[in-house]
Parts: sequence; C-alpha cells; structure tokens
Amino acid sequence: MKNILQELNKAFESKVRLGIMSALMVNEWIEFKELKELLELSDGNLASHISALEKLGYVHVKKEFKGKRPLTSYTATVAGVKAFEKHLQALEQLIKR
Amino acid sequence: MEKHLEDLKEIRSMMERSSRFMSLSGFSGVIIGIMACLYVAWLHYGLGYHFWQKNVLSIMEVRGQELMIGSMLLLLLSLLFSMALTVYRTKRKQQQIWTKNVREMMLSIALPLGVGASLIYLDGYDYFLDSFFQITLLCYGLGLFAASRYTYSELRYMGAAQIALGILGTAFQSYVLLFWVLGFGLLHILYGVQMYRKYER
Repeated sequence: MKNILQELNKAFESKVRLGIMSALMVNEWIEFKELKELLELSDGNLASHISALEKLGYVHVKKEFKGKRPLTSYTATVAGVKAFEKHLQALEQLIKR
Repeated sequence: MEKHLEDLKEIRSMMERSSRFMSLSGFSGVIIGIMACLYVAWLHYGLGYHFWQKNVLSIMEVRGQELMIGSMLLLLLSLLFSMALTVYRTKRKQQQIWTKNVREMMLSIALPLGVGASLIYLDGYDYFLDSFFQITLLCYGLGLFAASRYTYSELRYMGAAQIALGILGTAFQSYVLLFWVLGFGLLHILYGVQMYRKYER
C-alpha cells in the first residue's frame, strides 16, 4: 500500500492540474482560451498552474501571433505523458484494493 | 480512497469533454428527418417518382433538374436548422462554439459529402445522377461515421446504418427511394428522439 501511495505524483494533486493534463492527453494542442473555458478558471489561476507544470517539464508552451493577436497553446511533453500515465496507474491500483 | 475515485472520474470526464463536442442538437435530427420525409412525399406526389417503380431512369432524366433543386433546398434547410439549434444549445450551456472539435466534426461530414456532391453535380447530370440516392446515403454515412470521433459516439451507429442502406440501395436499385427515406427520414427521427431524451431533457 505504501509503495503505491509513493507512486502518486504530487504535481497532480490539485484538481486543476489533473484537468489540464487530462485535456492535454487527448488533444495535440489546446489554446489558452479553450482550456480556460473547459476548466472554468480565471486567467490568472490557469496561468499559475500551467507555469508550474511547465517548470516540471510536463507541459510545453507555444506562443505565436494570429494576425496581431497573440495565441498561446499548450501540449503535453513526453515526460508529462509518462508521468501522468504513471499517476493514473497508481490511482487505478489504489481503487482496485 | 474516495478522493482517488473522484480523481479518476474527473480525468475521464475531462478527457471526454475536451475531445468531443457535446452540444450537437438531437432535436434538429427530428426536424431534418421530417423534412426528408416531406421531400420524398414531394417526389412521390409532385414528380410521380414512386419508390416501388422499376423504371427509375426515365423519370430521372426528365425531372433531374427539379430533383437537384429540391435536394439542395433540403440540404440548405437542414444545415440552417441544425446549426441554429446547436448554437442555441451551446449558448445556453455557456460553452464555446467554434472549437477545434467542432471544426473537425464539420470537416469530417463535409469532405465525403462534398465528394459525393461533386460527382453528382459536376458531371453535368450525366452519369451519377442515376445514383443520386445511393451516393448521398453512402457519403453521408461515411461522414457521420468519421464525425462521431468528435461528438456523440452514437453518431457512429447512425453512420454505419446509412452506409448499409446505401449498399442495399445499390444492390436493390428499384427500392432505393425506400432505403433513402428510411435513412434520411426515419433514422434521423429515431436518432433525434433518442438523443433528445438522453441528453437534452
């Protein structure tokens, strides 16, 4: 039991980050605005969680311009996908007990 | 334990919500189905095109123009109704409309439908007009099948059923209009009612 608990990733403890990663697992890229509405968050709240995940190397941020408006999109890195899958497996094993 | 289960549920729901457009109006399916039935009734009573008729071609040759204009009108009205009702539903749920999933969904339907339409319309009503009903069933079915990846997964079954009816219509050409009214009329209504009861009530 203890071992599995250690497998749980602290980075995914918050609901918001869980939501961000889940959405990124099934979409190649998601724009800031879309993600914000999906998770029903404020700009600042989403940005702070994203930057935390970016610092861990789980999320990659792409900034570009569409005409004059800046467009920020996110994708999960290979490390992010792996870490999240490991976290998911641990969750599933804990449920099965 | 409780939290873990909740987390897993949250993950599943977020994956679902972020990869599929869940506001497609089922009720518009009912309207499209009824309009398709009216269209067939018009073919039957107005143009004298009976679905048990063996000699399909002769009437098609004479009435090709009317058939085409009627079908375009049907397509236009269907698009109008389903888009208006879907936009209304999305607004009420306070969701974004023009997302990547919606674009992919529309492209999935538009591509095979566009291919079918160019076969029928662009060859000068020459060759493919005779297969109008088969082609529309097959192409629409392929479109729905592909689009189901981006919206309700139930759409997949309707797509498969339309394809099956298109194949039946190719095998038994004399009854093609019957298969067509089953596909575009009855299936749309059944699907619409089912989806309305499941998601919109």
